[in-house]
Amino acid sequence: MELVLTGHPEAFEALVTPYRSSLLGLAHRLTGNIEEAKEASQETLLKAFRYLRSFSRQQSFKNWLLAILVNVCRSQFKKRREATSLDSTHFAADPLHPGNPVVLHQQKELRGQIMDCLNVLSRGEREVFLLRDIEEQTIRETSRILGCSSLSVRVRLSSARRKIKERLSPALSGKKEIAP
Amino acid sequence: MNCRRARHLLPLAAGGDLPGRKSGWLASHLKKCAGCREELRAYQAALSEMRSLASVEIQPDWPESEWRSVLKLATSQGLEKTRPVAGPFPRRLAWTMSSAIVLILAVGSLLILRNRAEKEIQQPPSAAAVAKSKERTFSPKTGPAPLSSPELITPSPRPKAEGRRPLETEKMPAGQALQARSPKKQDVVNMVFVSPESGLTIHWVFNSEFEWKEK
Repeated sequence: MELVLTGHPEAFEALVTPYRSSLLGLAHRLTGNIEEAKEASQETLLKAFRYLRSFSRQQSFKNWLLAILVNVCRSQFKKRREATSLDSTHFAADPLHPGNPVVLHQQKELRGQIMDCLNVLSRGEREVFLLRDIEEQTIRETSRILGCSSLSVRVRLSSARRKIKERLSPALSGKKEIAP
Repeated sequence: MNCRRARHLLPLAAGGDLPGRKSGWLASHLKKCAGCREELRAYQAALSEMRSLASVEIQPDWPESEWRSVLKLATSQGLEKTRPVAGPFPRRLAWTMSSAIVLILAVGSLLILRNRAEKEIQQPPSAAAVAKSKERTFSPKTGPAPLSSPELITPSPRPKAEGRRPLETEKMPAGQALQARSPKKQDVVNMVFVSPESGLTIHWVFNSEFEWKEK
């Protein structure tokens, strides 16, 4: 980071490369659309470089990136609120995993299942659920990333888990019945 | 703890996000309640299912050429000092400042109102104000100019309890008593009722808008 700040922008690559996949992955789950996810991640990287001086060393760099990403996704969501809705069908044309068609089909199904669950959540619940339960951040870190109180995170998390459980309960009880 | 309260806490308990004290209460309830235990297991199963799905899913990644171009675009711009994201602290600070200002304004205006009220109580009303208020009280909203005759609004002297001659209005029925004092239509009617036993005097003053409805 010191190198970037002292006029070596090429060092920025080493700084952000460890997070390139997780940034895009989170953006994908937040927006539900790979093109918008790419756009949000790109915007995040642009902002991260531009405002690198304002990064506080007491904070984790990854969490700082995630905070920027969440804000970018929020503003994107506001822009397209009326135009489009979250739709898991976008994943069918995912160009990021060329290769074995069987694996591709499995991945598509898997992603569809995840997005079906995430689609029952509101935007706020989705942010909290992804950060706490999928990215495995603590409640405190989640509240710092989202810029809200821990209490608010707990309330949204509770609601999100209730909805996810209601969504998955029929499938899970079916599995239990098949298992014995 | 009852089942209703326990089920409210179960989603957070499933991910280990309950604070210690509540966690203790819930644990003691779960020992006794099989239904809530089952519910907690359902939450945990859903959560682990979701986590396993997310871990199995291959994260999307940038094609190398795209990644290079994004980095090139990012590093081609200059560095700035301002903060991109308003973190929790500045937002909290802004809220605190604005609530403090609102509180100060509210307390200030309350004190000003209180002082003004105290001053009004201390100062006796001027004669002109009293006359104006009387005028306002007895003047009709529409119609002719208000009647300011003092004998109409001045209470009649208290009669003696014994040997009192009954008033003209007391002899007449209530409907006629209103018109008895003057053949003209009056703006204000003053009626006095005196109890012969206790000597209690009641003054009734009606303005022109008074409508008598006989039951």
